[in-house]
Amino acid sequence: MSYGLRVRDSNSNIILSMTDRITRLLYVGTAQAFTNGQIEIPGVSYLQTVQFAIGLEGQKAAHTVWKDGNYIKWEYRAYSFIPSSDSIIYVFAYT
Amino acid sequence: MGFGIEIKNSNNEILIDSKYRNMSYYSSGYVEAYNSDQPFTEVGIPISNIPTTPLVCLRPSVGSYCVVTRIVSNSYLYIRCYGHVDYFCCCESYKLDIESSYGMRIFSEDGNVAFDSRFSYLKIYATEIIQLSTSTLYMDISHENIENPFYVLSNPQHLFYIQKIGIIESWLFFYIAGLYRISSNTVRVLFLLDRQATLPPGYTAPLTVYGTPMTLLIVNI
Repeated sequence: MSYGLRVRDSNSNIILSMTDRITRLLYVGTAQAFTNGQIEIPGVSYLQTVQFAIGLEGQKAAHTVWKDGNYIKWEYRAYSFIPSSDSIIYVFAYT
Repeated sequence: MGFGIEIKNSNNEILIDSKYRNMSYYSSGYVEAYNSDQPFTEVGIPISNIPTTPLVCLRPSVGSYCVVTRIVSNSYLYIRCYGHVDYFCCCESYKLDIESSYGMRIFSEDGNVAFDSRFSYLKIYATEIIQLSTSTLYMDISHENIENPFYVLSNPQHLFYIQKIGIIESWLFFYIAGLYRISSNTVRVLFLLDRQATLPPGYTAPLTVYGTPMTLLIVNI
């Protein structure tokens, strides 16, 4: 190890090394079916992020999530035979 | 950064800071089902003992299929699967409470734990944007340098069609995007049957794919 931080657990397993990329959770929240929304996260426009929705209900459509400047926005989806679902919105930074 | 700690990796990427939280390993296990008739058997992954609705990461064995069908908060996450599927659940680190007398704990500005050396952390190795269509019904994703990772497929697309069967029956076939493991470093994103139902006679509808691009996370702990 030339420099940096290496963290081990009590069994000496390395849980964090200097080449790892662990995620940091910027936001998690619930979006209701058939509703759109957004949240401002100052500085998020400069971060490498991944944002997505996990649908909570079967045979329904989860929200679409995207980044717009310092805002994370989400929009519901609904189609013939496929109504909108409640979703959990996640925003991760990984740099 | 006005206070706290910031730790970067060798690529100058932030590993830990005192502003945001992390996601930590909480539990793991596997499910198995071997009925090859579609729709595949629906099985539940227990999440009732986890402090918050977790992010569940899946790894079908080579030759196995899985698709997330629904989540019942504080109860089960349901998947349809054929074969063997490993999983792990992770949740926000500050929700965990494990007694320990050693290690490093970093708090965020809001007083919650941002990092704790007792936990294993979710690592995202890669993300892939995938859009299926009526002309591209599956897509193979290779991750050459990442062996046997787990996956999270978000915003799954849907496919359905209605077919007239015989003289008086119409059937609706409803598919959702899921995973089929090809090898240790290749996974196929494809549509798997989620339900079928009879409709009043006379209905037909062409094969239609719905949904915006999906995100496939390639992860591990």
